Amino acid sequence: MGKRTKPDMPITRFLTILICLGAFGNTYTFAQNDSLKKIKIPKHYFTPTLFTDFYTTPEKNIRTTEWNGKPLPAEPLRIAKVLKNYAYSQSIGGFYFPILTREKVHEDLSVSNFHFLGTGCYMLSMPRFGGINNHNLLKASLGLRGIYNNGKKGIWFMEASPYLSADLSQGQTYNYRWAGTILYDYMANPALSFRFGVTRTFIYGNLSHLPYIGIRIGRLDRSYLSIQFPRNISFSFPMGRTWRGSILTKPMGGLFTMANTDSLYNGSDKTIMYGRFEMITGFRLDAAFNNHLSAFASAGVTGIKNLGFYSFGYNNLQPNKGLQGYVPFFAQRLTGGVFLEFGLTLRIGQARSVYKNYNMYEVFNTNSNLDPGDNNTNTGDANIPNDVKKKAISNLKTKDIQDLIEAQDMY
Amino acid sequence: MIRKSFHIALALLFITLNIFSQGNKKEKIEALRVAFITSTLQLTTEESQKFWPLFNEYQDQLKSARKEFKSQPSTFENDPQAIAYLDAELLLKQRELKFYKEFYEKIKKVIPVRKVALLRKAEEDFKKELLKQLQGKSNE
Repeated sequence: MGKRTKPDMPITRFLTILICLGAFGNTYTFAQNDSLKKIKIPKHYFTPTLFTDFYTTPEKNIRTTEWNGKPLPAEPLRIAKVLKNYAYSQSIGGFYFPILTREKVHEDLSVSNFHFLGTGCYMLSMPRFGGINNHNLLKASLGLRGIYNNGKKGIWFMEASPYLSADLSQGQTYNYRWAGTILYDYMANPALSFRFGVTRTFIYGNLSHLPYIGIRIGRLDRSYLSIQFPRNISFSFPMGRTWRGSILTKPMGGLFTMANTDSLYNGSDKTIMYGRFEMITGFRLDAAFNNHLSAFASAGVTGIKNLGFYSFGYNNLQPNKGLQGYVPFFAQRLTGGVFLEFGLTLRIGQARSVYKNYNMYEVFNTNSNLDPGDNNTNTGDANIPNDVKKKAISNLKTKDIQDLIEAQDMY
Repeated sequence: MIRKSFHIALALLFITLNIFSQGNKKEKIEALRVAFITSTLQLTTEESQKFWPLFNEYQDQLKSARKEFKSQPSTFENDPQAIAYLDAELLLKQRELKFYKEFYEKIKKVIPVRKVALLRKAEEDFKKELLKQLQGKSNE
């Protein structure tokens, strides 16, 4: 065996390098295979969503007598005479956006997911009383909500929505409040679900801590009856692919901070609270134009129209203050009238596909039922496609279907 | 102020209704395709609950891969551009196969294999249906 000579070394090195290159080549190929998977698919089921809503009811006279015709006591009579009449409008702009979405495919291949959303809402409440100056009342909230879908039959929903309530007509007049809901949704099957929980809300024109009890009969992509106490009762039905009609009844209300510049309250409070709610019943038409844009218009009658004024000073004097809400120093139920509400919802970006994923439909429906800002408006379920029958598509063009068709399909 | 807000909101609503009343055809086709598959497969509630999330994920993967491929320039001024295009096409095909294999492995555990085969057939039938519609239109 000859002694190893130096010139052999470069050959060995060369071979080593070649092998390494081969290995790297394999690694590269492997990496390339691996890169097959490196593709960006939408992260979230919820996309950043902006919505607007406008609601109005016409003018009604403030009564100077009780319902039965008896005259009001002195102080309420004084306030009624000051207020004279009452009309109400509000406009809302809000948003929600996904902060985090986590998804897990379990061993049994069920898919659970968690959605953490940021929410915000700006409401301009515009009560108009004939006898006092105009007050433009702001309600601005920022909140967080978490929704967990276990991929089987259960969905958890949690939300906290702190907000600022201020009288824009008068500086330095504001209060902080918060609304929130926690509920469990049990979906027995796509056509039957139950919801149980608790909610802290102001939609009845006063602070309320109420149980949340809901039942839905019928699939969300078809016709269904939904009773969601204390939020709404509705019967909803699809009208083709784009449109959806609903007959609904729900409370619309809130509690707003108002400057006591009109001396409605006799005490020394500079700030009072104006609370209102109307129980509205009407018809709502939703249009889902595409995955990004939807709108609705709703009209009907207000069966109950309540308004009340509260003050912290007056409330502190009452023995039954607390969880039941505030005690009004002036409250009145007015005769019903009509209402008009309409809104637009804009969804930005691409969301994960959800076709026939009834768990996700339920998640969307829970989210839209509990609107950000505790105003009991509803952005609608435009992200739940209506169940469509097989039907030809008009004006079909090659570019519409080129993703679905391969060259060989033509032969 | 109320009247102004009302008019602005109403104007916005009508403009939007006008612009978007045509709808998005691709979304309609997607919905129609899902309806086609649903009626063919006749899934039970349990099967459906597991099938659709996996199917939707698979569709999202395909859509994203095709979107990426479509971002390639489709006119070629030189050979490197043509090679890049062909490479991208090859990558798309590889991805489609990979995604399908992954989907198939999962899906055959949640629905009977017979239904997996029916799914393929439903997709083929749906394509034929669309082509028929397209052909009918071009003959008019």
